[in-house]
Amino acid sequence: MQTIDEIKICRNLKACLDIELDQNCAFGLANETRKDRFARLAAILQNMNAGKSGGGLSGGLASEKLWVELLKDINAANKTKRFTFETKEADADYAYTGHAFSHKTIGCRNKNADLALAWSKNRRGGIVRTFESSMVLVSFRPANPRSKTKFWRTAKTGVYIIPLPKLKQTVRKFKPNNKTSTLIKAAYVVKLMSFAKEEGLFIPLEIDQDRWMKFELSYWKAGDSCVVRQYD
Amino acid sequence: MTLSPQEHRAHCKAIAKVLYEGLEQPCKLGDSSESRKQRLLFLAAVLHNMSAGTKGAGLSGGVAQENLWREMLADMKVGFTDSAPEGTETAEADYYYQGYPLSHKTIGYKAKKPALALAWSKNPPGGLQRKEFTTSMLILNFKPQKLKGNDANWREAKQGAHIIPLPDLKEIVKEFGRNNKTDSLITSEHVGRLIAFSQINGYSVYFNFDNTVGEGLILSYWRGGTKGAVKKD
Repeated sequence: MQTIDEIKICRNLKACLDIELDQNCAFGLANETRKDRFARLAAILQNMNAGKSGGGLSGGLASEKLWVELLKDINAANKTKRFTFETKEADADYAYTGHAFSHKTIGCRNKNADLALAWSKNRRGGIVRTFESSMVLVSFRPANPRSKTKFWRTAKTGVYIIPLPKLKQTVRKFKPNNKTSTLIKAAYVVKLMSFAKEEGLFIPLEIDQDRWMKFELSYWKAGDSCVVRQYD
Repeated sequence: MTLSPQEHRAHCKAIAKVLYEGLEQPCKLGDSSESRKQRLLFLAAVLHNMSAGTKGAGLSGGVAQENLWREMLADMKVGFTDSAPEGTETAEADYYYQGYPLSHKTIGYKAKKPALALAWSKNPPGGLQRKEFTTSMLILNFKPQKLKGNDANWREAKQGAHIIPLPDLKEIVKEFGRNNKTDSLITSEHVGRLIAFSQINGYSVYFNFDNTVGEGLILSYWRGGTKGAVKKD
């Protein structure tokens, strides 16, 4: 029963995003859709962090912030605030109609699409982290026809929504590395993304990085235009 | 880069001088009616308030503050760069002043017992152990001075940019702590000693940071619409 509910919630989120991404932004002067603004800003962010030491982490954090702003923009345009940002689940980044989602990003230059449930390594007897939330995975990694993995030969950039039961069922064990003891291996990630695609829990987002190659995002240079009153 | 201790210290002294002068000058980019220090502290205050009390705020707040600091350095146009001259890259360096590498650490306004990390990793025995400094350090400290406290160094620690030359860094921090994110933790006690060293020896540049100026405001590329995206220099 719980499984069906979780999938239903993910379908509802997908349906919501399908509609809302094509609407014009509530904030800012530009007359552009949320999808266009997200794609433009995300492309610039990806370019800014690509190839830099620590760029994966900074790029991922910045992309997640941008996504959260998109969700707040959806809230601002609607009477009901469907997205909330204070969650009790340890792995959650936000909630949709009260249901927790964790947010993960795969960058444009990512080669080995491992993810981590949490970035920590606890001692034996310490906290053991497990999945508590469904997942929204935004992938900017383009297809590579020469990839060894079939999925990545034709993979699409966009939003993959993965229900909690599927996460638990697929990721049987975590691997450790030098930054986390809860690494989700690339093979699992591919399975999860494939599931989202097959189940219609995928929203394509086209990112044109070349178009925005000469731009950067800068609070410093933008003067006061990025300083705004807190909305929520 | 093989430099003598004196050369390291001379580089760090030069950087402190450049920062001291540069922070007082008007911004080159954007509104030039404000000094770099004014803009830096205002934007830093907004960033602090944005991340305060949110999950993972220490990490994302630190990254955002470091990015802002880098933008301020770039505005000076005196030779601060993100990349090293070819063949001189070092693992710890976050930016360079005329080719001289610096690693950057941020201490937040609300940090209670600020510890830093040489590297955010835990390698197994036999693996790569990052336990030796290779680069001088700049600690950007937003934590207000508190005259009460057990640690004498922290009682004296002022808000500002504190530079510690590599040989002195190695001398002061001889052992690392560990937690669930790193095996190369620079404990709060050592951080206090590093700041004290910088202050006593004239490697510090001070500012008065008031986090209340950013209350109720956020920085948002999203809400900036098209204006937050600017042409690269």
